[in-house]
Amino acid sequence: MKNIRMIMAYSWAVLAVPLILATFLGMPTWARFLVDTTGLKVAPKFSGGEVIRTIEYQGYSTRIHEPSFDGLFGPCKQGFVQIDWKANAGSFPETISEMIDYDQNGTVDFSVVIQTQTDQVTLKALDSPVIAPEPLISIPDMKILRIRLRNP
Amino acid sequence: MTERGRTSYGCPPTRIAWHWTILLAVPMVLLTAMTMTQGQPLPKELRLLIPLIVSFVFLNAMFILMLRSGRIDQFRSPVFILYALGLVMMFIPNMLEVRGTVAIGAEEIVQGKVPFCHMVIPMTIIPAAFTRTIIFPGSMLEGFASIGTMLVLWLVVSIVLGRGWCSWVCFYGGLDEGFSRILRTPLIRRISPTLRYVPFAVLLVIVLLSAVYLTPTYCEWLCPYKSVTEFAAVTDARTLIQTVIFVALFVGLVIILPILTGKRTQCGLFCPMGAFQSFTNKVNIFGIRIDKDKCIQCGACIKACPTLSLDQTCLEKGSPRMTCSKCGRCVDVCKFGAVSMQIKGTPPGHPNLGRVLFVYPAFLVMAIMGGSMIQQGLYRIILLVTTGSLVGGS
Amino acid sequence: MSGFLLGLSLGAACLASCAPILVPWYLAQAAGWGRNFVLLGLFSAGRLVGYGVFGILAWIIHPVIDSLRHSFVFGLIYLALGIMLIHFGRTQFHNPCVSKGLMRRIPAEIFARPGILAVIMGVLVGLNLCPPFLAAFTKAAETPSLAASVIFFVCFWAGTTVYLLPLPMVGLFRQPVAAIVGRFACWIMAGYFIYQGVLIWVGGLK
Ligand code: SF4
Ligand code: SF4
Repeated sequence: MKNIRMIMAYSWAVLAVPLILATFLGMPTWARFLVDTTGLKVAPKFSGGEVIRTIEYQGYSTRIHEPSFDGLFGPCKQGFVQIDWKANAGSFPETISEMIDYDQNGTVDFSVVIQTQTDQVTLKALDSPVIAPEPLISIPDMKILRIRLRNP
Repeated sequence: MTERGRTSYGCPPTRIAWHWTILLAVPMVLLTAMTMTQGQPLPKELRLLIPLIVSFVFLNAMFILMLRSGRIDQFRSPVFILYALGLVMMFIPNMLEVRGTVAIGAEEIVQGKVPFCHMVIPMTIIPAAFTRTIIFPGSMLEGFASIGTMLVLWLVVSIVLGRGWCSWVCFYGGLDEGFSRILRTPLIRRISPTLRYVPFAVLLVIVLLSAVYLTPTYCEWLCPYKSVTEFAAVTDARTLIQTVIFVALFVGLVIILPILTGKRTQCGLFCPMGAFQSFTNKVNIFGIRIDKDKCIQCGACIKACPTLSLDQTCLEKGSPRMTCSKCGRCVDVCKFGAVSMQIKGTPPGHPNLGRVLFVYPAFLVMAIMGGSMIQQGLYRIILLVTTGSLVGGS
Repeated sequence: MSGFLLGLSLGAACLASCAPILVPWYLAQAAGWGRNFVLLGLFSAGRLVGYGVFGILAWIIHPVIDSLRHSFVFGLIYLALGIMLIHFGRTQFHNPCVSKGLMRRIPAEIFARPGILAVIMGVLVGLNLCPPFLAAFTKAAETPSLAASVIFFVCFWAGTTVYLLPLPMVGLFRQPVAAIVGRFACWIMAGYFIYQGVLIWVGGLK
């Protein structure tokens, strides 16, 4: 028994080097394997959530993310929905004005107007779950807006 | 395989003969050559070639000396320290080049462009178990230090080295280790042993707070290393307070206290990842063994241990506390050869076999990770000297 | 569930404060593990009653708390809580909780009936205003309904009870590691509450 334990211990110790090498050499494969088997994703709080709809306009497109009410054991009282505007040819029209139905129930939830030069946002809630917008994030070819929502 | 060595203080009694040393070093030379060049021909530009050659020679020289001398820490420590400095030298200019600032803005967060760091791992476990999501603004598979890559690396290293992570792999640990080695005689000699439990308390609090708020709380308001990597842009009172906390913790725990105590105070008295990693020592095959027959209870190893993992009870028990980071300093300082790196489940009496089997994988990970950091750090220094700027170049 | 997690995070501090009462008591009983578990069950039932009472109280004061929300005073409550937690962490080993003082006034006969004593102790500990408990009280006061408030406290009770479960095993641990970790956790939580308080203050004063 002692000998078997000893042989196993030495074998395990010797295997350490090939294990390390295999890890580094096959890193992209192992990482993908881990992500696929566990189904892990970046939390919507950081990623904005899955894009559920993309609407194409002249010069830009609007991406609506899935509303997120993430809590540890279930949905929270408050959450947000993220809307991205992506410029097709690098620049936006001066004003973006849009009616958003984020839950796709056929009723407009809020209207939003963005002055793209000054990044000024005007949001008008048309449905009760909408609370308020967070500050607009502006990167060269994208505008990102999160709107805080109450969980209906 | 061994020849008798000197037994003066700090000299372990066994060394490896030169022919064995060379034979054992050849695979490491080839492996480091392969990983550092990434299979590409050598660069023509001197600014790239010099760092590559210097770091390659340095790493292998340290490894050969480690094998030959019978010591571990003496030749591990310089690599580990330069690795951490290399990270800082590489990371900051890199971020300046990529996004023009080291501060993380909301853009990076929503775009998932923040590199994943192992410090986050303990905080992600409960949320990942319940929500199948990772509470970090990074990318699962794309970009520099993606979440998937770092998780795989951590998993494998934890299996192979346990908390050896903290003396061979963590790219921050070398900073407080470096400062802890500045004074030969520390000014503060007594540290209350109770303080060794602080990292576990920090771990408990941050794991639970992160689960409640679904954000990595440690990164948001406690991580000292934000000061030398990246932090949220100061835009309001909250981010201002956070930045003040980061800087204060860095200056206190990574610079001043290590200098005064000669210990790795950030790692031994604060870091929750270190505490978390200590549990992996329980399932790991390598460990420090203290031979009670050889030990004369002089306490040299207790004094030397940088993570406060040794005390009198450990000498009686024959093994360190679970917080041991396998730095090997206790092995180096014991002049009676009572302390050795061993493989659990094997009989005592083969100190070099256990040591070689441990340092091989440990040094390999450090060389792969640290080699490129040291190389890039050197490149930035050359860039600074030749162009007057850390950013830019080719 | 946040009640349960809060209980888990502060439970180490509860253990640290109540272990000095429970452990010597268990030792004095010189009972086996099984009997100690029964006593712990009774003690926990007593705590549940105490917490239930506070669940109702928390709901009653909830409108007051609601109006103070995010204001200067609310920040002050957090600050006071943080300071109390610091004090608690510093002194817990010497004067653990209010209940200990009350315990001294319990007639000697009751000590002869460990079952009753366990329940009384539980109620007293449940009613005791130690800082981890205050933290739960503040949180529960933010819940909108009586049921939610009571459920919050029941969950908090469950979370803290987890820490008390190993207590009957006393004697196995010579060093109360959990208590030490709990004391430090208490201080870190204190830092967190002070930080929250300052943030609310700074935000409120803007
Ligand atoms: S204790 Fe923390 S900072 Fe130190 S080496 Fe370990 S993980 Fe890194
Ligand atoms: S016990 Fe030895 S190997 Fe472990 S951390 Fe301390 S000095 Fe390093």
